[in-house]
Amino acid sequence: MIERWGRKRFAIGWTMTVVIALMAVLPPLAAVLQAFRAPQAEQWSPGSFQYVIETYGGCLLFSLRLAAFVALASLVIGVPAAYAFALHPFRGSAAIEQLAAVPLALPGVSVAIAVIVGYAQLRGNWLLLAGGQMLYTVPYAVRVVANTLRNVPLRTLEDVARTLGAHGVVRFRHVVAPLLVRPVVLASLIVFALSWGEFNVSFLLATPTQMPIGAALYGTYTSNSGAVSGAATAIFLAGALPLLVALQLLERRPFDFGQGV
Amino acid sequence: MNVNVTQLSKRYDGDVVAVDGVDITFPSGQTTVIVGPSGSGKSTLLNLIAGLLLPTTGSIHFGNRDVTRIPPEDRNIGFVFQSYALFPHMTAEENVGFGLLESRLPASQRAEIVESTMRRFGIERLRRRRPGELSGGEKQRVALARALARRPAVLLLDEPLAALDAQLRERLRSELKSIFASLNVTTIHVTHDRSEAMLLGDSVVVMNEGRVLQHDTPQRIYRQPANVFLARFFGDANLIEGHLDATGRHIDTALGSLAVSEPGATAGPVVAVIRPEMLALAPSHPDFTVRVEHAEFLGSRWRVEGISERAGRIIIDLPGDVAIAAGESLPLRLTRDSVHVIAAEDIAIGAHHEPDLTVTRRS
Repeated sequence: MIERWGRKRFAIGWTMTVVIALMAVLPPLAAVLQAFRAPQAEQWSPGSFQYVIETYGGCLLFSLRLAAFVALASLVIGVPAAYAFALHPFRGSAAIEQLAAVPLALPGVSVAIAVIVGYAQLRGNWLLLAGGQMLYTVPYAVRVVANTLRNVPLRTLEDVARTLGAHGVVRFRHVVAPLLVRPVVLASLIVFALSWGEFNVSFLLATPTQMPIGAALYGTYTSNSGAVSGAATAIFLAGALPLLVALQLLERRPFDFGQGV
Repeated sequence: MNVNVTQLSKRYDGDVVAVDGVDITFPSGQTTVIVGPSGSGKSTLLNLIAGLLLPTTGSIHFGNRDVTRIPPEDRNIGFVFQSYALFPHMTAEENVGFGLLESRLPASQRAEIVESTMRRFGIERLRRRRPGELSGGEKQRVALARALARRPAVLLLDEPLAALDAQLRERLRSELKSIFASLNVTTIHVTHDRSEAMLLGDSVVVMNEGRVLQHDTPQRIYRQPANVFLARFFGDANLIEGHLDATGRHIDTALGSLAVSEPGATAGPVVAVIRPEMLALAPSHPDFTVRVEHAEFLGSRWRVEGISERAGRIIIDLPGDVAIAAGESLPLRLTRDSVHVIAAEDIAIGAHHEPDLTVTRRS
């Protein structure tokens, strides 16, 4: 009886995993493969990729630079904030942390319009685009770093270091910094991936000379052939996939922070 | 070097008193075990001595040096935390060598110290392992080696065995005993485990509600507890109420007149402390009899709970080679010529912490 229930559970688990995997993989796969449904003349060829790189290469480079800037700026703001929220909470810090996550619950279009209205003088400046994306990415950075720090007995480990004669610089270099590396790398990968794939803010705040790949991708769908949009999607995914793989690898090997670290 | 704490107090938010005017001298090179129930202030006292907490009032001296306001990194201490708190990103070897990072010793000498310390604790084969790859006992050894590698003036241990299973704890206790004996470092060890305190301590400090109840050798605390709380905290005790006579040498109890082991207390109501092993079978000339209510065979001995018509509930430890059954009547005698008594003013101390505490009244 128990064995039969065990097998049933195993089957349900497998089915759910396959369904979720298909739900995640099918849409981008369909986007890439749509090129094959196009008329013969428009089907995939190395030329489609060449066309995308020639036409949208600037967008790809701009997106790379933008994502790098957004990741760096989000960490500069997010890591100290997460450190304070997780290890040195103060009156109202929990409320501030929650408040910072509000943009995540708002429609992207609303956030983009709010940014345009609020900072009209920056219209056309790439900083407005970066600022708009950071409304999403900073809360993620804070969440990821704060959650990890809450699971690390960092204060105890700092106390241990103090009892072992370690002064501030040595403590930071040998204890705090190495333990921050993992959540910071994790947060930077997530933020980079978010910025790379962001559409709402990018679409509304992009200019012809400063267009992130997310907005450009929309352009390929509306004005180019299936082969070109498929190639553009493949190139876009090629940028995002390594980030996702790196995230998986990082999350698979956590430190042992259980009893008796 | 001696460690002296003088009138040391720690208050939180003005109201909660964790440590309350404590005066203790921890003798140089000896192991002092601080023992007490949860919330007694023992770990707070240890953190104050380490410098991880600042006292509200009072002072701490390491030898002649006032360290009250000196941060822990400048006190030359070794501290072993209950959870070991090994650095998870470092190998066992790097953990052990951490305390030497700021020393001016050349790298080769530091490596030698790490090597010899690890060998001393039998963990040299674990050199390259990270904490996640170590068992509880191995983590404990690495934590001890790390605390001792820098040769601290004072070694502080906060329940270092509490996270281990009973079997391993038992084994490591004996190891700790021999390590402490070979160190010649002033060692302060905090535990809630009475048997650990008695085994490891050259002297034992018993704390409750932030105060020191008794500081003495384990033997004296067991045999001559200062109050009812201590009598109950260190093992089981039959507490028999009596009346000390004017000479201060005898007490009149439900079990008859008993000689007092330390005469001198003021005449009046007292409590005699009779440990379960102080009673023995006496078929020919019993002092009193007990009807067995419950008997547990523990291998080498019996733990018997019975009722004496004169003295009420009595706990007795008897040799394991006799046959004992519930309901039978046991003739008993006291195996000591004299008993320890707790004076009237000390009877109430701590009594309210043990709801099942019964002090047998005179009939």
